[in-house]
Amino acid sequence: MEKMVIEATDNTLGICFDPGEGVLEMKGVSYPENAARFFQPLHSWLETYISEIGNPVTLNLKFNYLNSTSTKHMFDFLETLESFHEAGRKVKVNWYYEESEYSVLEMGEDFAEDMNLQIELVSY
Amino acid sequence: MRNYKLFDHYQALEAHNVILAFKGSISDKILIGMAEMINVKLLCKGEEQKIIKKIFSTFVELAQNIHLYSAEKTGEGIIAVEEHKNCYKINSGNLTGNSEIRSLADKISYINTLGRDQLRVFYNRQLKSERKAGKVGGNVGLIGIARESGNPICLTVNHIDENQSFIEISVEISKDTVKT
Repeated sequence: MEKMVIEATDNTLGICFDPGEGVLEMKGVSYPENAARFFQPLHSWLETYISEIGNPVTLNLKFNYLNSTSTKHMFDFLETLESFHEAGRKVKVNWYYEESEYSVLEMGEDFAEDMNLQIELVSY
Repeated sequence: MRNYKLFDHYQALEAHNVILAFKGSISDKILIGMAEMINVKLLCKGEEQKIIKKIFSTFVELAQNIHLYSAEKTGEGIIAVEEHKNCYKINSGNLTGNSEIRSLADKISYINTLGRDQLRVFYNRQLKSERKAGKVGGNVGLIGIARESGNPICLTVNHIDENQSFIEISVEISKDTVKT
């Protein structure tokens, strides 16, 4: 399975998914008009990883801003990880936020509260 | 018809302390440029990061909301940011089919009845329920705007004919951050 690396742009996230280590990183801002087009390949990659490799996953998230559609796609992505976790696999989510970015923190808190996933909120 | 004079337009914008106004189809590139311009302008004014972020996210959501409701294929609309003594006001406007207005108005007036915690619950519930819809129906965006601003969302409908109206959605971001 291939590593997935996408450079960040002004309105899309930087991505680095490493299947060997099981470390998935997403960072930056996301507000493209068509968020589905950006998130779809990420979701497919995760599904392939789960079915073909299935090792423990560490997801490192360092967001500065997500618009509402990107938030929805991120929620779906975490839900897939939630099912993986509920199937008895190990998933660790590190949710990094900048001190001044209270809405990023709030979003992390929402997800942590709402999902059956270990989401650690880490300020930097 | 009197000639269209840019000076009149300019004066109207100045009279209302409009710091940014745009009419047209808001592509991703245009949105990035405008968002950056707002950031720079507000930073120069010495605004707090927290307020700049609120204005940025409200601006992005309202701009993208135009695409959701615009009756024009190209997703045309108007977006403007005004500065007032105690707040910034972000306005978006576009033509929309009359049949869309009722549900939008209901949505907004319902959101306006909710307090901070209720908005949070509603937001999370909508994230779940809309997840397989393929397209976010604008609920999450509007609730996000309400959460971010802490102020009611104002909808004005200007009836044009039996088919369409020009709708304006505006939201204030208070300069006083203590409130939120």
